[in-house]
Amino acid sequence: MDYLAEGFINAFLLLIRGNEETYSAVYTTVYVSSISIIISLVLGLPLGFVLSYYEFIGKKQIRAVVDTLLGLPTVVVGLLVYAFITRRGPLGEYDLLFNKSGIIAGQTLLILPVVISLSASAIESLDERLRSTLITLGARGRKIITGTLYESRFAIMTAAAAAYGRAISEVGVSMMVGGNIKWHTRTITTAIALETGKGEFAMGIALGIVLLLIGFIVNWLLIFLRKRG
Amino acid sequence: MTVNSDYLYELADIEHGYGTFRLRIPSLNILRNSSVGLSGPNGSGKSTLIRLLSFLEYPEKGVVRFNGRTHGRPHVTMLQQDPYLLKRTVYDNVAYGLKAAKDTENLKQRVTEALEIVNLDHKKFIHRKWFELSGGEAKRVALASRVILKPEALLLDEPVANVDSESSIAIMKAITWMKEEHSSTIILSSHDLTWLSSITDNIWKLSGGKLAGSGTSNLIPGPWSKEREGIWYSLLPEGEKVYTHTPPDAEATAVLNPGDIILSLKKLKDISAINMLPGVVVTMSSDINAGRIRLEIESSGRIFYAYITEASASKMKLFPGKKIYLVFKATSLQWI
Repeated sequence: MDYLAEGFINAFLLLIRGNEETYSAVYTTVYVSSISIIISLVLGLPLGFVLSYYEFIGKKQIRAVVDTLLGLPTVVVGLLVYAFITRRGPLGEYDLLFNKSGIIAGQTLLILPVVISLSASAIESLDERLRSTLITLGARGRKIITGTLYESRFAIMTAAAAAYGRAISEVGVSMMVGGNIKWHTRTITTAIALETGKGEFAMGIALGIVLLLIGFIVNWLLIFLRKRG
Repeated sequence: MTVNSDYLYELADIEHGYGTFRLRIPSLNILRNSSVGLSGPNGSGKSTLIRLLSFLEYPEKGVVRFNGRTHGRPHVTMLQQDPYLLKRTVYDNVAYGLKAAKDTENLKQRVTEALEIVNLDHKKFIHRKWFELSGGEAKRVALASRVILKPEALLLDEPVANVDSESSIAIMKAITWMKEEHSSTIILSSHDLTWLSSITDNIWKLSGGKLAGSGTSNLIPGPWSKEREGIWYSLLPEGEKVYTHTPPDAEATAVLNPGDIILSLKKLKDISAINMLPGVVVTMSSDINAGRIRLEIESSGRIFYAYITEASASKMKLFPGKKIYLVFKATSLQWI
């Protein structure tokens, strides 16, 4: 059991002393996951709105597919993105493989269904009187969309937090598409996998603590924003 | 098409509905700067008509014209029976419509004024959140959100249903302010005919999706059963019968003009009128315009409206709770 205690002590020393290798992985994780969540929200919120607000042929079927993709295995996404961005793939010329951009593409693909599905559920659960209220107050077109999304902001924030949590904690995409390259594409999760394999528990534990801390900060921010209303 | 400037609304050949319910209005015109009440039982079509007049829905058949046009926004606004407040502060709720219209000059002052019109202290309420309000306060904030828009037509669906008396008075004053100070046309629905007649110029009655006359006419719905050849009856909730001649169909609704009802303290004999219903005076209110007294009389579980002169009321010593008879002929019932 001594190695565990020793691992914890060394983990804190790594974090306190600002170990560059540790913080490089933290930076990469926060960077790729933040870009992924921004892209997913920009694409996913309007799609979630359309999927919940309008009636069209095939709506139920599309919703079923989106809901199924919620549990998409990260390695499957990794494999799919790898196949597309490898030199022989259709997007090979863009040099995305083993780059942060590749991880961002993969993570976006992974969390987009989460944003679409949860935001659609959030909008579906809104009060049916909201639309007529917005209209009677003079809202038109884009104002109705923004007004509706704003009314469901708390549920959408929860959806965004869930999607962000999935992005920062995934390992399949980062490992397969990013290649776990030190100082470049190594993320917290790929570093933990590698360091644990090497028996270097200290860095694994330090990175694990940071991962939990990020999750805690995101949730704390969510609670703070809810309180502000 | 020529536009009659006296009419704000012109409805023609309207048909609209959901499931088995159909609202059918062959023709209805509403005068500019008038206040119109819509009355009728649940499911009579009041809310549907209000939604059509507020252009939240468009009729399946026919046309609703507002100022001669087939759309009315942004000059029409509507307050729902159970209004929804946006999940924001009172200020943001009241200011929303003006912000949406990008009309933000002196916004804070206009929000303050709108809150004052519905008798809410702006200092106390302006920063409150939507969940920090009582039912009546929330309704007043929702009304202030509409009042601030200064609409040409303000539609209100059951505005004083389920609100406290303070809110009810504030809502009534705000409606009167909109009509008198801003010349808005007011259209409101209510079950409460006494309240409705105190605030409106004209009342339209709805029954089964049809306009069933104006004013305080009594509606007697079917089903009608045959008593004998040429004489049919409709059972009132507590068992009394209302007789008429052959109805157009067994489910038809009849209108009984309050002026056709004779009030008697005793059961009359040897008269041609076939209907003689025992009743109890519920309310008496002065009909100032006509110099008469309007009575609400409960008979066999249904409210009837009747008029009497002040002299007759005094002679008969009428007061709420007094037992009387309602006498009217079978031919007094008109079919809609």
